[in-house]
Amino acid sequence: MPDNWGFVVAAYGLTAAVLALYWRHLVRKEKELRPPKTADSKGTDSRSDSSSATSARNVAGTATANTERTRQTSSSDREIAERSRQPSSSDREIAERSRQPSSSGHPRPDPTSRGPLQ
Amino acid sequence: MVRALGWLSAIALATGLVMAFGVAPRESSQGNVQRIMYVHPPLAWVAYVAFAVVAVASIAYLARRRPAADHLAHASAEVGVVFTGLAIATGSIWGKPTWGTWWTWDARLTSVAILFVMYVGYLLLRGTIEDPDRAARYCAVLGIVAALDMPLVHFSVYWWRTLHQPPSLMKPGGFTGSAVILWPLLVNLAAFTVLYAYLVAKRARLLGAERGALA
Repeated sequence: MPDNWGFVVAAYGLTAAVLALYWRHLVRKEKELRPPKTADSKGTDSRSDSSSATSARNVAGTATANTERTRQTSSSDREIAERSRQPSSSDREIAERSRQPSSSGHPRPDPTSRGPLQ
Repeated sequence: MVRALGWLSAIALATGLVMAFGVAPRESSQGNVQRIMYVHPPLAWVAYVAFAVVAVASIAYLARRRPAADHLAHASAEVGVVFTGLAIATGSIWGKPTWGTWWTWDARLTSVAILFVMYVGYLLLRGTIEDPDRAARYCAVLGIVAALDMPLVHFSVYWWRTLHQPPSLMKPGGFTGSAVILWPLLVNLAAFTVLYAYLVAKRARLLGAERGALA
């Protein structure tokens, strides 16, 4: 009878592959259930330390940029508020014109004597 | 403890592999394909052990309602399904060159297929019931009922005319072959049993942690 090594390899190979996959599945599940390590714990390696430091630096940099932007925003807001408090030239022109008698001859009431709803 | 079992099973499996290919001789009638014997019967043996553990742990759970017994039954059923599936597959691979067919509906193969399907059903039942206590109770009953198929599997080769050969080791009078074939087989039986113990311990511990995380 021929040796049929192919069948022998298939039987042993399939057994090894399935058992290895099942073992790996258990190891992966175990890792998922393990609680995440904190930054100050002893078990953290140098790579995770450097990555956490980099991310901390990135966060700090973003915060500084945001503060700067907030400061710029607040100064521009102040300018807008200042400008809104000062009457514009067009507003002054309108007020000036309203004080002049109308060209059609109709009497115009004094603007200062107007009520709030008029 | 679990890690030690893992290393022990790795060493035992490596020794078993060396003995199967280095110590055991080429069989005269089947040739080298007979070396599948050092993996197929150990897988079937572990399947028997696994389902017997499921039955005992299920009885213990129904008697005392301890979650540890349920975790042991669940873990053993899962590992048992993996080993039974592999026993069927390696038997099929061995059957093709020796019997001339991958599969035949004889009593041994059919009863093992039924056993496999019943424990797959056991795992599916666990997955479909959300309440863990109810799932444990129902599965304990199924685990005990399904174990009744095991004597049928073992004695099927005596009770019916089958293509499958009778057991080589688990029979009255014991093994009748030479020691150079017996020892590699015994080493592989021990190696796969230790591997089963390692996988069940690991899985049962995981099930306990999963339940703890959910609570």
